Amino acid sequence: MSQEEQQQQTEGQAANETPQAGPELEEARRERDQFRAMAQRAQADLINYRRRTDEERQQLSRNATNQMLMRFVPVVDDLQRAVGALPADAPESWRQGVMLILRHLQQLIENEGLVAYNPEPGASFDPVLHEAVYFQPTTEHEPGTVVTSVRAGYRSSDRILRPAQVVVAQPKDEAARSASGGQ
Amino acid sequence: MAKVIGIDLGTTNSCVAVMEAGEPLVLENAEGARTTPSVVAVNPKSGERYVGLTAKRQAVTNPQNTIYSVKRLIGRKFNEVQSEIKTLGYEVVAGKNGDAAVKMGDRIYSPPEVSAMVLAKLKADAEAKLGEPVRQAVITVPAYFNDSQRQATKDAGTIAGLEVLRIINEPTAASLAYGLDKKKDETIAVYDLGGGTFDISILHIGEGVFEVKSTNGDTRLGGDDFDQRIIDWLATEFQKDQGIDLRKDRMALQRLKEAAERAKIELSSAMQTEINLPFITADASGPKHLTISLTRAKLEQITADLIERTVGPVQQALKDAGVTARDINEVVLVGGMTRMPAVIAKAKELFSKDPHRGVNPDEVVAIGAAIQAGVLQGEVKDILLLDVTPLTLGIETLGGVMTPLIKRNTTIPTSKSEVFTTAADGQTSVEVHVLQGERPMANQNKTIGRFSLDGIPPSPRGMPQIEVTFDIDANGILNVSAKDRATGKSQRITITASSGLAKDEVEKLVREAEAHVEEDRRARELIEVRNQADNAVYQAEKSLREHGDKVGDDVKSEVQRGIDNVKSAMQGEDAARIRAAVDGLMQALTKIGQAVYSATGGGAQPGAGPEGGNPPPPGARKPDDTVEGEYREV
Repeated sequence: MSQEEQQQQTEGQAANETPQAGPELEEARRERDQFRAMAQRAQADLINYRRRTDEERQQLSRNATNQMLMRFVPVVDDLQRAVGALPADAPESWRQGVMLILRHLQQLIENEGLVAYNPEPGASFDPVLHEAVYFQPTTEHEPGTVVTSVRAGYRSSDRILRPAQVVVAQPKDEAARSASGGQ
Repeated sequence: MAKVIGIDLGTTNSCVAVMEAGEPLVLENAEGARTTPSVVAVNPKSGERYVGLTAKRQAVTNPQNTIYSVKRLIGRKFNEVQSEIKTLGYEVVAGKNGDAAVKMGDRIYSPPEVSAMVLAKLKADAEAKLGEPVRQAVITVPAYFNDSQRQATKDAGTIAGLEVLRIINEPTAASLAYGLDKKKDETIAVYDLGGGTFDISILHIGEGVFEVKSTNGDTRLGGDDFDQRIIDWLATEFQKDQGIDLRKDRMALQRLKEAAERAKIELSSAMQTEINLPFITADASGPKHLTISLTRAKLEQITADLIERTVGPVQQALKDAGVTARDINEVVLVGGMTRMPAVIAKAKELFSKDPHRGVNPDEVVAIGAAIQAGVLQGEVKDILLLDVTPLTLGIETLGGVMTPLIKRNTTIPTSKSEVFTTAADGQTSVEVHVLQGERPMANQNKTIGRFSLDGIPPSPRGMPQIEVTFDIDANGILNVSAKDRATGKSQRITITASSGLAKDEVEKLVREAEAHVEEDRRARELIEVRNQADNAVYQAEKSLREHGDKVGDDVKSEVQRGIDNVKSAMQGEDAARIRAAVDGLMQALTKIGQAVYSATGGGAQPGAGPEGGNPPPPGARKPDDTVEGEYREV
């Protein structure tokens, strides 16, 4: 007798015995379904876990580099401020020298895959990429657009590491209204 | 069955966690952060909706339509929230049935609808992370929430497409995260100092059920107040020094805010930090820089009154619960501000007890919610008790060493394979000696089985590949098999769990192993040196036989002396002496190598000698081939 036949016979017997062995069989079936579900879930858990830990491992090493680089970004900001604050009568050669240091630092960061970005004045404000630091009443720019970028944003291939800080244009009439509203 | 997530729906920030393989795990959001700001906004022109970090980033451009702290309004009547309204930058109106509602864009939203937007983002991000749909959740609320606030929170979940299996109290969740549900008849104080609120709860745990005895707090005290103190201090110091008020310069203020928060965090671990903001402003005389040292002591001094404000509510809560500080058995800290050493010290002083530490205080509530979710989802899981192997399992290898295959405390069922080889030339049989125990030497561990694999074709030592597999099923039954990869011949043994050990016996063995660590290390080292020595002698004898005719008698006798030297050293127990003898022999052996190379005109075959500088002659036979076990292939 082949295995299959045997199995069929067993199942046949089981079916015949249903009236007597009812509760016990019912219980066994319930347990079987429960265990099957458990096994499937455990298997699925494991597969998902592997997939996610794989992703996370890669993400982790990327994040570690990015975080380290982002600690140097405030130095770039400060150096940019220094360049911006150079007195008008500063010798050109000095200006150039400081600019070269700044560019060197920026290149080191960008070579690791980080991209600095500064929205242009007039670009529409996008909170995914930008952080509004204040709202400036103006008629020069379309309301809701960027007046100026005060601090560069940085992103990696898949993530915004730091939004660009921007000043956003506020309609003149709205500014007047909110001022009178006591806000 | 899909996973049930645990959600800490906070006033300022929210957090999601889930149980995975029995461990709670905080899920990062789409932006890669472990907490998400509980802020929602609508762009009045485009109608675009923002939730979380993006909503926060656009807040200053759109304050009327940026809803934060909606938890202060949820489930409450419009006339109950008058004092809250004054502090909120958006419009609060009376909605249906006199419930508080908010205006965002051109629509009126109920607070549950707003919270649902936060929950929907948390749900979507969790699904992206888990790679499967999420339909059910456990959500936490403050212990003082009344029925309508709880119902409204549940409604928020429903609107977000989540079946809320349970609403649990935040202090209860925090206690669960520390496993305090297993305690019996204890009183627990949960001290929660978060971003914007302070809550103290006194709980009683009896027979696995938490009962809230009392709650108190300060709805206007949190981390933001501490930041503000630092900003003010910095600005004042700068003004004293330079005569310029940085608070009037919005750009400078922005930098001060960021620096203050960073300094606060640094001072939780460091005693002092330097705040360094070059080009913070400028006047006619040129650029101005802010550079100030802030010590932990100074920070504690300028925030002492804030910390002191937690004392009154704590005392009131104790009084309301009808207990004294001495009756508190456990103290749990929640909220980012409880990382500050002065806050921890205050909690310790208030309850004369060390608070529980270790779980991230920003995540502890979400973790507790996930644990509760795990209990609700996994009622059947309890049947499946996964056991662990109490002791290490392995086999004996060359020199009487125990080589572990399955380490102790490995969850079963499990299996592990490793490839071994022979220790002698022409060895046709290996004995697999199965051992259990923690000691490095075979004879110090317990033998639980032994079998031989015969019929290995005679070949030089190290050539045959014998795959040894250990497999333990869920019942603890161990199957050990050995298979010769060349011939496919295999042999196996089944060892039932009955030969296992009682719990105290296991503990004894583990203790013994710990007690003998140093002695065992030395024994193992000796074996390793002896194995090296054995290998060196084998090589030297081979070389002599193969190339003896190419070298002078002086070299031959030098090598022979070296061999004898090693052999006699191997009789002893002195690892250093054996090592020295081996070094001497290898030195002498290089002379054969040199002679052979010069005899063949320096035409050495690269890669011909895996064993080092000497060309290995094949076909030598070791006199003694009754070697028990094998050595591990490298």
